Amino acid sequence: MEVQWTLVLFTMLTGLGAGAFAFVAVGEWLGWAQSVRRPGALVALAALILGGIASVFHLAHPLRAFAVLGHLGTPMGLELSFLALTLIAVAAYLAVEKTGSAAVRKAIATTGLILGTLLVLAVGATYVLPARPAWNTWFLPLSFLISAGVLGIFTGYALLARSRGDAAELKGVNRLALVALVAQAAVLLLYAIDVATTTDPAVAPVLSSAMLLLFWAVVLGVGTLLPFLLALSPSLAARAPMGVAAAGLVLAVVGGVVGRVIMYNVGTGYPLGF
Amino acid sequence: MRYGMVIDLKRCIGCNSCTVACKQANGTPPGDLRTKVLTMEVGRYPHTKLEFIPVLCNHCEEPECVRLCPVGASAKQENGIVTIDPDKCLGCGYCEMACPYGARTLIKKTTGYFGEHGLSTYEQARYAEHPEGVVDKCDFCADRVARGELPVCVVTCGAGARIFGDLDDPTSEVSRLIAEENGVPMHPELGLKPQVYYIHR
Repeated sequence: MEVQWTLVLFTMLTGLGAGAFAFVAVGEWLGWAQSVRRPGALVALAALILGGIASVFHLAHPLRAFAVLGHLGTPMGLELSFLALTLIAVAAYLAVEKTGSAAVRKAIATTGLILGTLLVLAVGATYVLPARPAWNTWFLPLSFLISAGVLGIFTGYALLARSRGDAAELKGVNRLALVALVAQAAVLLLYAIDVATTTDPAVAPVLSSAMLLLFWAVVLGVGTLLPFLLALSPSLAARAPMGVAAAGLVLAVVGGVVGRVIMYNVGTGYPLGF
Repeated sequence: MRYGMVIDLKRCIGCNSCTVACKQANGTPPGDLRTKVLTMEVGRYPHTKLEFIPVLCNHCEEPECVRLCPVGASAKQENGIVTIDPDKCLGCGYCEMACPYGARTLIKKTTGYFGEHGLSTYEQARYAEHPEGVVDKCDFCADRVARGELPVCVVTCGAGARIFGDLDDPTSEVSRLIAEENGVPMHPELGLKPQVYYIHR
């Protein structure tokens, strides 16, 4: 089906926003990355707002969107609810970040992390449709979630490198990025195997399509393996942490966008007939 | 009361009279087909044949489109017909994505059939019923049915391949055909309980 670019933006930005705030929340719990908690939360807030705006451009009649408030139990209603609640949590965190006690900051950050996770899962779950066999798997929202994690970690990594953060913290974030990229590769491979091994003939064309090449070359190669190799080099990570983090973020974004383009292309329905 | 349709594929000759009659009766713009006839090649050369499969909204008993609609524009009526309220539709296209039968069309821009000449007077009048940015689909000709008439595709079919009636009435022709001729819905495995049945053997 046709690529819905406004929704590609929406899913990428909400993923990045939720991921960046999760990075801040983890920082609160572990007591590190103090210098980037505020900028991290600001990036999250901006990404979530921009993502929300992008989704509005997808609608032919945006003014009628207020009616969604009367149907919050629908998949799009859940997306809206979790987006609004995550935004409130991030805004609340920014309000207490300087003056609030550690306990209050932790509580709000944890709430935001949970809401952001639910937001990303809700966004992914809207695509789990019986009518689209290649989407009808929970590996799809799971791949959105792990992509959000990777984007968030690299955002935090870049902010930490920019603020010339503590070398030990930078090393810690570097290791976290490596773990997240391995997890992303695992989830993407499991998703691909799930689609490839399905017996449904409607999904079979996916295997021979150009999309498969894009999957291996761009999503796994450029978007996952390349940032992994960049982050894996201890000397490079120590010498140019900003370069590693910024390049990793850009590559993860490229992988995420192309992954979504593939998703729309393989999102074919069942053949009609008997 | 639960309206449904039986389509006898052994009778369909692929003439598309139903497609044309539907377009004329409902005044749908280019690209919007509430019903159409798929032409499928069956078998391997030289033992091949053409099979014609009319498709339309299946008015599912458990419609995904109604469950997912974020503004309640899609609704299941008491008589089983699935309808769209064009004044509520957001134009998000989610129902179009969720329909396994490809029965829904999001009208993005209403262009006429006469290119640079613009919309004809007829088109201007009829396309007002199908605003831009709204999803359209078959409603079993709900206005005609409310008047006690049959959907226009049923009336037009020269081969008598489309039969319309009450699935809750065991004595109706649709119920009889489903029982006696082994009428089956398309993709029942999806669990949406479609109300359009096909006789194909």
